[in-house]
Amino acid sequence: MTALGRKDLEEAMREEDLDRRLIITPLLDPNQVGRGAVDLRLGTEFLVLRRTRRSGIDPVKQSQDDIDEMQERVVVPFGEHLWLHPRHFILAATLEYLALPDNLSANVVGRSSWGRLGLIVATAVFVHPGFRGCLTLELVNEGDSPIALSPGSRIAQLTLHRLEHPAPSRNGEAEKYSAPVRPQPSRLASEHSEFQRLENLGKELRSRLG
Amino acid sequence: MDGDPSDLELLLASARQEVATLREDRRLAALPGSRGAALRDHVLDLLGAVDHRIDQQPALDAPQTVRRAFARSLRQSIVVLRGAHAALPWLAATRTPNINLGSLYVTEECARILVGTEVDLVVVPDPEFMYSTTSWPFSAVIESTHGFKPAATRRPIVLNYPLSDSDRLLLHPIFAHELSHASVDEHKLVDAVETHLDAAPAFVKELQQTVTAMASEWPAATQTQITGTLRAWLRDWIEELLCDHLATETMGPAFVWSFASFVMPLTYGEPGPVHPPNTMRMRLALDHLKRRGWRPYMDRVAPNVTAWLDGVAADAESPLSMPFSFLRDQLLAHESRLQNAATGRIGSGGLDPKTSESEAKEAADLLKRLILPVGLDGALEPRSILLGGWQEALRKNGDRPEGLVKALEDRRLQDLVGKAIEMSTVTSSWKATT
Repeated sequence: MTALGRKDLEEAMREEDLDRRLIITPLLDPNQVGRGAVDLRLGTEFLVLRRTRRSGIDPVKQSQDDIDEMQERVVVPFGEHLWLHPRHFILAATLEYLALPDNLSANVVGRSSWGRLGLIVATAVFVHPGFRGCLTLELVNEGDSPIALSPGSRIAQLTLHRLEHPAPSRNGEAEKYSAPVRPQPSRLASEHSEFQRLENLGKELRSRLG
Repeated sequence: MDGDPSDLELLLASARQEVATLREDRRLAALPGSRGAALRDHVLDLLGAVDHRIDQQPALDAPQTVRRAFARSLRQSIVVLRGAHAALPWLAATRTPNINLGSLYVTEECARILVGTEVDLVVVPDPEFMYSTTSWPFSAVIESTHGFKPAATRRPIVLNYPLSDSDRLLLHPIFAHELSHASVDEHKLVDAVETHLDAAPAFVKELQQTVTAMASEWPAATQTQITGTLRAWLRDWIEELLCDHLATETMGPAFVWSFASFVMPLTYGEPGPVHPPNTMRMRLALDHLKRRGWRPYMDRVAPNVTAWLDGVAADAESPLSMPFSFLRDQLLAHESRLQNAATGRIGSGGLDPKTSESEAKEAADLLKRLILPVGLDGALEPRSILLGGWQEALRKNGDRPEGLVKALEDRRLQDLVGKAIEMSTVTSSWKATT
């Protein structure tokens, strides 16, 4: 894998063939493309945990609908802001929509300027080749002061890597988070059958011990 | 007794209580932005007008007619004040929009084109699950309060939509029809068309003959009453048709496709006192699109749907009972006047196939590749993105009537269209701020 610098990034974004072009839209300011990364901005939609609906999260026993119901969608237009209080966790999305060609993968990290205020931008970190959509960002305020989050703020950085041997996606692999335009809740409950199998495995192993 | 001291005591207490309850509601507090601010001013004007009315309380020994008039005035105020509670959730909706920002932005753009810049748009779900619009909802009390000067100058427009259609962005071109009611009112467009009709001898003659013919159908009504009823129905039909023309001019074929998806499953060719038959509405909308040069585009991207709509429009001249046939025939005869009133009002704000067709194609091509259709070389016009959304939806879900309906369930496509419109608007505004 080769990391892309500014010149490579600009070339990838000018590629004639749309299927091979790196698309980051809207790119409000060309200066978002830095020496080795692209700054990503905060979008306008958030998922905030409703704390009073359920006792907790148990992906083994709860359905996807149960988990979805615990999250409230909040829209914050430009010019307004959302206050993130200490130790609070929310899901956000990037303002930019990405379309990665099959020969590029990416990593997302928070910007240190925000990190120094206590804001941790955890994310799925690795972005698969061929991904299309806005990235979901997991935001936590680890500081002691509430932080105002304004849509459009540069909040994260995207670094891109060229694959030496692009691999076509397995059937259905790309559909799991297909072309999202807003923050996506955890889809862990969709792996219910696997959790069930693990539970059965535990029972089996416990019974062996008599 | 109506207007006696006990009655007035009750009414004054009730009116004061309603005013105080509304004033104390925190949803009536100042809003963070300009969205909803004119509606808030309008509600505050209502409260001010009622305060003004309360101050006009007559003396206990005033003539009974004066006291009764005051009691009537307070009862009207209390009814409207109770209705004003409905406006508080509308104001709350401006803080967290119920529809996505893309849809909101394109609707605000339509409001600017159709009504003007001095407009405050509030978009809220409707409990009756219909599209409708209200401007200046409390003007009846404010305007009839002598000596009271309202502060609100921007027109508040409350746009209702079915909650089930929140995410069905492809239906939102219908908002253009609803906003057009405010345009028709603001610019007195019905009066202009009616004046034109009254200047046509054939219309005057037909109206008189219809009134005479209806006398046997409605034996209890005088000729004056029949004429009044026909005039009222005529004005309502003119308004509906003008709104269709204005929406067609503003949104292009996207309006006709959304109209067909939403309205055609409800009624086909049945007329009513307020609404002309859908067959006639479709005929006029298609004629409008043809005249504006949209027909080749429609034939190319959705030939089967277009042929079906032509069939619907052909039924516009099916037999109707009196007096609906009179209304239909007269308005079809003066179709160009309706079109001209709409195009003249909108001027250069209409959607022009010369530029929008290629933009819609670009948007449709990008959607097909699951790329957000903001625009490859600069932001696409939001209404062109919506049109491109319909174009791709019909390609994907089928160029047939069923495809129009299936398109509305294509959540991913509509999410992309909404986000693209939002980002196109953000991009254009970003450039304007540098």
